[in-house]
Amino acid sequence: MLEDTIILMAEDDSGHTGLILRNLRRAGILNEIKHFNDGQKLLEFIFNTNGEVNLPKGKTFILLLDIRMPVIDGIEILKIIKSCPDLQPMPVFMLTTTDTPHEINTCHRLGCNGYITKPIGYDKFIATLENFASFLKVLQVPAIG
Amino acid sequence: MVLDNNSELSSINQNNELYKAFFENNGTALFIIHDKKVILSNPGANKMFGANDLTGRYPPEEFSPEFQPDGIKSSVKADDLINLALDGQPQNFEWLHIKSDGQEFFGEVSLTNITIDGVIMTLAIVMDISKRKAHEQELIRQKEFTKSLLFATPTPVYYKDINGKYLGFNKAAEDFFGLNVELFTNKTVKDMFSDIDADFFTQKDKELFDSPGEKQTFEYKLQNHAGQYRDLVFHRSVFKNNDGDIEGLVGFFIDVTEQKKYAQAIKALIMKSSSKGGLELLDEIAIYLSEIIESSMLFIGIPDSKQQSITMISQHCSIEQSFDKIFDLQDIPCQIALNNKVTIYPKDVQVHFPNATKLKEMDIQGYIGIPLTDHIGKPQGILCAMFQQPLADAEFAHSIMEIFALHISAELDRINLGLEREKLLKDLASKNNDLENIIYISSHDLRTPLINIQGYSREIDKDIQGLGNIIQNQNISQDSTEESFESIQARLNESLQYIESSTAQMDTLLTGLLKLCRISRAPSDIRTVNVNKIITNIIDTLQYRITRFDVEVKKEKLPSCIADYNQLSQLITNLIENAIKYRHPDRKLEININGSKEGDSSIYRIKDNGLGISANHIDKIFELFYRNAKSKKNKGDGLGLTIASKIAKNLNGSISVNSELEIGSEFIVTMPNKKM
Repeated sequence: MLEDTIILMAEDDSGHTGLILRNLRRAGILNEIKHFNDGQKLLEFIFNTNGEVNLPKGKTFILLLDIRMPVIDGIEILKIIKSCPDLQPMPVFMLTTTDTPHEINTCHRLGCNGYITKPIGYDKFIATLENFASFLKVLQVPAIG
Repeated sequence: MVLDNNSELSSINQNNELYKAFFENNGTALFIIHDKKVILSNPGANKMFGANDLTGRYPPEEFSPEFQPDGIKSSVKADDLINLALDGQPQNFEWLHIKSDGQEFFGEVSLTNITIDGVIMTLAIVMDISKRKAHEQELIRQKEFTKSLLFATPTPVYYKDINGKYLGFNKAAEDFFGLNVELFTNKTVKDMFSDIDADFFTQKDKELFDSPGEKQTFEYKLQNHAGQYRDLVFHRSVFKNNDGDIEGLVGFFIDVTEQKKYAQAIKALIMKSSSKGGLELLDEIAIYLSEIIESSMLFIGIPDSKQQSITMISQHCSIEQSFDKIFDLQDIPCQIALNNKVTIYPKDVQVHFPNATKLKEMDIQGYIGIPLTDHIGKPQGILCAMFQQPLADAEFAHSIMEIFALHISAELDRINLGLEREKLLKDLASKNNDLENIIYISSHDLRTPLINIQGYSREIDKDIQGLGNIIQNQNISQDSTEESFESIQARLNESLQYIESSTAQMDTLLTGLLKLCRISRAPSDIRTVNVNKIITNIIDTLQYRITRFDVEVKKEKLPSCIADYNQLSQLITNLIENAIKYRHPDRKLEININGSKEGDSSIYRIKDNGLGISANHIDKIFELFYRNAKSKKNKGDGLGLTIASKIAKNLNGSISVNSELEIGSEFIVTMPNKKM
C-alpha cells in the first residue's frame, strides 16, 4: 500500500467506526480514510450520477465494507465493484460482525479479497486490526484505470 | 224276456272249463249287464269294485260318482254308451269309478254286445288305469312346471332343432330381444339377426352336435332390444328323444356386461391407485367413473364448514356446460346425500327439486349422490353423478359408485392427513426460519453494541491511564507530544456516550426479541372481530401523534373477519404507526383505510402518501430489525412490520405491500372471514 492509497470505509455504526479508526491509526496506518455511514453514500462517491467511475485514474484505493447496512448493504456494494471492469482489481475487504459460513462463502464467491470478523473481546479486536494493518502495509495495490 | 240268472251262470260255469279259467283268473273286470243289472261278474270285477258279489248291482250308478269329469251325469252317460253298444257299436272310454270304500279310480271300459240265449246283453270289460292316469297327469304336471320354470326364470333360454331352427324361447329371451316367440319359430340365426355372425353359431352348433356329451360355453356380444351391445356368456347342451337321437339343443345366456364393467373398473382403480395419488387420482377416477356409468356430469365435492355450499375438487362433464366450482347447497339433492344418505333418483329428479335451477338448466333427469365419509364415518364430501337420460340401470351405477366412493373417501383421508402434515412441516420450517433469523440477528445486531461496549470501556481505561500520566507528568515537563487534558476528556465523553447508546440499543434489541417470542406464543382468542371498532380505538390511542403531525385518516366501512382482537389490533397499530413514522416531510400525511370481502377472506388496505419503499428493499421490510436509513432519527426497534407479519401468519392471514419510492405505500392485510 502506498502512502497516498486512500481507504474507503463503509460502516453504519459510528461506535465501530471510532474503534476501527483509532486502532488502525495506532497500528500505524496513516493513510487517508474516508468514512461513509451507509452503502449508498459510498457508491455516490465512487460513481458519478451517470454511473461512471468517478475515482481519479492512477490513484490507489482500498475498500473496507461492513455487511449489514441500511439502504445498500456491503454484499450489494461488493457485487457492484467486482462486476465493474475498472474497479474489479481494487482490493475489497469485508469487515463485519457477521460470521455465518453462508455469508463468508457468498462474499468470497463474489470476489472479496478478504473477510474479517470483528471480534467481541476488545483485546482480540485490537489484535485483529493490528494484524490487518500489518497486512495492509505490505499489500500491493493496483491503480484505478 | 226274463232270465234266470242262476241257471245261466251255472251253465256257463259248467260247460266251459277253459273259458272259466280265463274268466275267473283274469285281473281285468269282466261282467255282463242286462237291464241295468250285472248278471254275471268275474272275481276280478268284484275285487276291482271292492264288492263281494257284483251280481244284481249296477256299477254306473252304484260304483260311479254322480258326475263324470266331463260334467255329464254318470247314469245318463252310461245309458247312452250302453245303448250304443247294444246297438252293435262297441264303446271304448275312460270312466271314473268309486270303489265301495269310496276310493276313486279311472277305468278303461270296453262295452260290446253279447247275445246269450237270444237275448242281447252288454259285456263290460274294465281295466284299472289309475296308475297310467297318474303317470299321464304327472307328465302334464311336469310339462306345466317346466313351462312355468322357463317362464319365470330370469335367464334367457332358447332351444333349436338339429337344423338350427328355433323351437322356442322363454319370456326372458323374448324380453331381451324385444321379439315375440312366434316370430322365431322355425327361423334360423341367419333369418333373425342380420348383425350376428351366423357362421359362428352354425359352427358352434356343429361342434356341440359332434360331441353331444359335452356342455358348451362361449362368449358373444349381442345387441339387446334397446340396441345396446351386451356381453353374453352362452351355456348350451343337446337334448335327445326317447330313442337317444339328438333332437336339438337348449341354450341359455347370461348377461355379464355389468360384471365385466365392474371387473374392469376395479382393475383400473387398483392400477391407478398404485401409480397415482391425491387430487390427480381423484381427477382420473372422476373421468373413468363417468365413462363407466355414462353420466352427463360427475363430480367429487367437499362442503364448507357450515354445509351451505359445496366445492368441486374433481369433475368430469361429458356435456357442454359451464359449471361454477362452488355452488349453493340450498334445495338440491346433494344436501340429502351430504347428510350421509345415499340419494338416488333414476328419473324426474327435477320434480322433487323444483327450485334446483342448475338441474333444469342442464336438463338433468337422473341423479345419484353417494356420501363420502372420513375414517371415523363423518361425512366429508359427496360423489355425485347426474344424467340427462332417465337411468336404465340405477342399481348398477349405484353399486359402482359405492365401490369408488370407498376409494375416494380413503384418498380424501390421505390427502387431508397429508395437508395437515404439510401444514405442520410448513409451520416448522417457518419457525426454523425465524430461529435462524434470530441467530443471524444475534450474531450481528447484538454483537454490534457488544463490540462498542467492550471497546469503549477499554478505551476509557486507556484514557484514564493517559489522564494519570498527564497528572503525574504535570509538574515535571511540558512535553508537547502529550495529549491535552481536554482532548482526553472529550474522548472519554464520547466513549461513555457510545457505551450508553449501545446498552440502550441492546436493550431495545432484547426487548424486541422478547416481544416477538411472546407474539409467537401468545394464545389466540379467535372469533369474529369488528375491524371498524379496532380502527376507531387505534385512532383514539394515536390521537396525540395524529394531531401533532397533522395526519388525515380516512376510513371506509370495513368487513369483519375471524381473528384475535388484540393481536389484529396490534398489527394494524403497527402499520399506522409505520405510516406516521415514515411520512413524507414535504406533504401532509394522508392514510386511507378500506376493505372488502373476497371469497373466504376479508381484505384490508392501509394506504399512505409517505416516503415509500424502493423496489430493492421491499423484500426486506418484514425482516427482523430492518429499518429505513432515512428515518434513523426515528428510534424504531425495526420490529413493527416483523411483528405485523408474524401476527398475520399467526391468525392464518397474510400481509403484503405495494409501494413506490416518494409516492407512498399500501399495506394489504388478508384475514380469513370463515372459521377453519
